[in-house]
Amino acid sequence: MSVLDVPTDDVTTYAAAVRRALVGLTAEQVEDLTDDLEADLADALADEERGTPDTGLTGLFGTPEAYAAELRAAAGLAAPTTTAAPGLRAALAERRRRARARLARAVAPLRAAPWWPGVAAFGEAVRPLWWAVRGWVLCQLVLALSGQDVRLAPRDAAELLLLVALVVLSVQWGRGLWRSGRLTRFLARFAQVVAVVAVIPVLGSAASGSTEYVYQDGGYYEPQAGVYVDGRSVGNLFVYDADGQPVVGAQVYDEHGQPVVAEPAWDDTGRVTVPGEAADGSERWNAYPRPWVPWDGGVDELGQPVPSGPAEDATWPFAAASPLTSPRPEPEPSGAASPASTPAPSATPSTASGASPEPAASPSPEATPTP
Amino acid sequence: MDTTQLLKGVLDLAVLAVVEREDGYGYDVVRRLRAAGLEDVGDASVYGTLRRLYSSGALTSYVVPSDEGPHRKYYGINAQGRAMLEAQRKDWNGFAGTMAGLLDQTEAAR
Repeated sequence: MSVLDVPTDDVTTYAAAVRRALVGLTAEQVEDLTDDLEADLADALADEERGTPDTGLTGLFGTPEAYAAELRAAAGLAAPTTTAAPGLRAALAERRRRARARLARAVAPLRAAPWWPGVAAFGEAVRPLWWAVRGWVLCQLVLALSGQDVRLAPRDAAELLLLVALVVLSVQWGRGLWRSGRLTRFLARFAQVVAVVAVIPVLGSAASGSTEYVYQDGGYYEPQAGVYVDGRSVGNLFVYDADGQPVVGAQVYDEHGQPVVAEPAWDDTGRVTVPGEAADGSERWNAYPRPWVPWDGGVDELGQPVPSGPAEDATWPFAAASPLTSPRPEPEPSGAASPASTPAPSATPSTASGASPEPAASPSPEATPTP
Repeated sequence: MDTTQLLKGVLDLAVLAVVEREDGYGYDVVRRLRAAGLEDVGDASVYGTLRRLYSSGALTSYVVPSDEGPHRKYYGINAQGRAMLEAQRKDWNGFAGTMAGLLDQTEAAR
């Protein structure tokens, strides 16, 4: 049997008129009643060359309204009165049916509009595109759930495979294959809803892709203040000089002249670290090691902790670090450490070689931090 | 005579009988009903009946994609549909016999 490859305009128009005449049914019911309508009409038209002069489809089938009424009556949908059986399930079904009916009523004026058939035909034509997009969106969601960020294109073979599989699945489903079980229907509908909801956000983040996240300890953090070593926040710093001796009150700056400020630390015994104090009485948050003070939770009017006891020195991690092998720049050489007398191998990289730090302990005035 | 009214009562039975013979899509069923002699059967009535029998669980449905033409929704009969067909066949035979007897009597009485 031969069918027309593309339904003629007549068929499309007639089918659209039939759908419009089915007002009052839910969109799903209309779809269910008329999903093969164009094909059936085209078949009938091709078959019935006999008695159809030029009255067209109306001559053959009657008015679209009559056709719709016949369709509806035969399908047992003439009287939409529901006899809802008691029970939660029935109540839910009834509620859903009413919501659908409301939706159908709401879009009824649209469906009745003269431009509706054109728009509907356009929608019909781009549906396969949506099937593919739907597969892509679901793929991105799966990747996002497994901790990957969203990209337009797959990064490796595994992702490509997943993408192809989901797109094929989506398109095959869209083509109407595998429309069997209740569970698969439910899953597909669920996936459809998820894809519809997620398409805009996923497209948005795939298009921008600019937000950089630092992955730490199982969570996402924007790069933030403080000092981090190995992903852990640092609460105090301990500086040793070139001989490996502890330096008390070392002020630390970075290459931009910014003070290096670790987040304040606290311990189990209720102690907090406090900043050092400059000569003018201002706080120096980049002076290390910071001393501990006991703290009972009191704060001053600025929100700073008020110590509840005398300060204690921080405990040094090592009494001494291994000295550097290279000669340190020494404005006033002391006889204690001569370069030749320290040949011991050291694990410490010789960062001091070539570098010539300012001997002055105090930085230039403009770099002095003000609290 | 116009058989439209008569058809209405037995369309389910006719459709079930056609589909039982062989699975078919909408217009295919229409064509086979017409070929069997039910010339006046309405396309839309048949499609609606197929949908209703499907929703009531008497038919199964599957889509057959095609390369040239549009995809086709085929209907086939299942166990429930066969049971329904059997019951209705009995009803119909009983009813038809009764009607035949009634009409014979009235004709004989003339």
